Amino acid sequence: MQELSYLQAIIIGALQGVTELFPISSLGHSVLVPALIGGSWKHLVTENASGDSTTSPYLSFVVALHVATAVALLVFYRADWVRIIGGFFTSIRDREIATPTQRLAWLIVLATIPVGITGLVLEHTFRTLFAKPLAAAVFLTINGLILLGGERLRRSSERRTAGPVATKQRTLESLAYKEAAIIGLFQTFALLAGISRSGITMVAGLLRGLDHEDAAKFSFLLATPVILAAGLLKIPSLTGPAAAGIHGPILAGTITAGVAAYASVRFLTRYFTSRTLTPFAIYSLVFGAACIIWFSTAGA
Amino acid sequence: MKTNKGLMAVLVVAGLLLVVVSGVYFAEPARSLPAFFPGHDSTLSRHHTTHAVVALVVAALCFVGAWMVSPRPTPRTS
Repeated sequence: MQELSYLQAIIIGALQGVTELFPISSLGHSVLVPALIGGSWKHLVTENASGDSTTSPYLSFVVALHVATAVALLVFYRADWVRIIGGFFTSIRDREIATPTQRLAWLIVLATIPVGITGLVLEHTFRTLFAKPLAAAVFLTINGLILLGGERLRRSSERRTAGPVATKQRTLESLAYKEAAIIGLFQTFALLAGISRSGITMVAGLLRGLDHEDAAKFSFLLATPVILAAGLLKIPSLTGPAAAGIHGPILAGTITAGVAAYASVRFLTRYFTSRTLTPFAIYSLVFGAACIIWFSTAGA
Repeated sequence: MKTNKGLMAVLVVAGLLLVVVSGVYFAEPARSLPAFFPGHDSTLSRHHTTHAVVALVVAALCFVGAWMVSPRPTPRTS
């Protein structure tokens, strides 16, 4: 069984914290980066692709990193979550969805159900089939194309609507329930290592007429229950035999991931007030293509 | 919220089915699950507790949704 060192834990924690929220796929990077470094790092990828969290120490560690990322998101959006949870329960009490916050709460519920169910049914299959370096590189390149395509479609749609009377940008609360469910369905593609959850939900939001700021906020709010639930349900594995002897590295990596995730969401919410997904698209295309060439020639 | 009896019926049936599904996941190990159930694995002896919990949560949401679209009792007029 491969041990996890403090250095590995801190580097992977930082990588997870940043890439989970930047639209460049955390799962893809958790496969590609260790495979590029090689040696004992490469062994972690093999465990990632074949094990489950009750037997693999690396997957127990990944569970802890996800919980840390979700906690960072909860802390950053704590005021919103207090309002959203309050809105959810008052809407049930009043049997009415009257306020924008109550509506947002139900939009999040509807958008979370598809990925929750699909994730549960297909996550293991997707991980064992596609969490391999070459496949992750291909999907990362596709992720770049999705981000680029989303931006182009949004710009052309803006040009079409910018007639004599320019239409106002939609707000988050104006999304229809069906649209929220569709955005939720888009999240299921993020089960493929290389496709970014935040990227694909942001593109879906942009295509429904949201601006970058609202699309990013909805994406981060949607990510929180999914990441938190996936992590919390598997937390018992951290107390099992798989994590025995590596609690120190797990703690160090978890703290690093939480801090990195908080810094990332803080940066991105400011970034998306005025900028687009294009730099992340270019990064995904270049890194993905380079990895395709690297892993194709390495395997030949 | 608008009353919708058709949607209410669908949500109640879906909720009941999910409660049954959740019960099966809680009660049976992966190897004894019906073959069409996600997570069925003839070599696995552990229970799919996560599947059971998620089925129960979605069932609860179905019942909440059904309650919200159900007809409200009309106030009595004397």
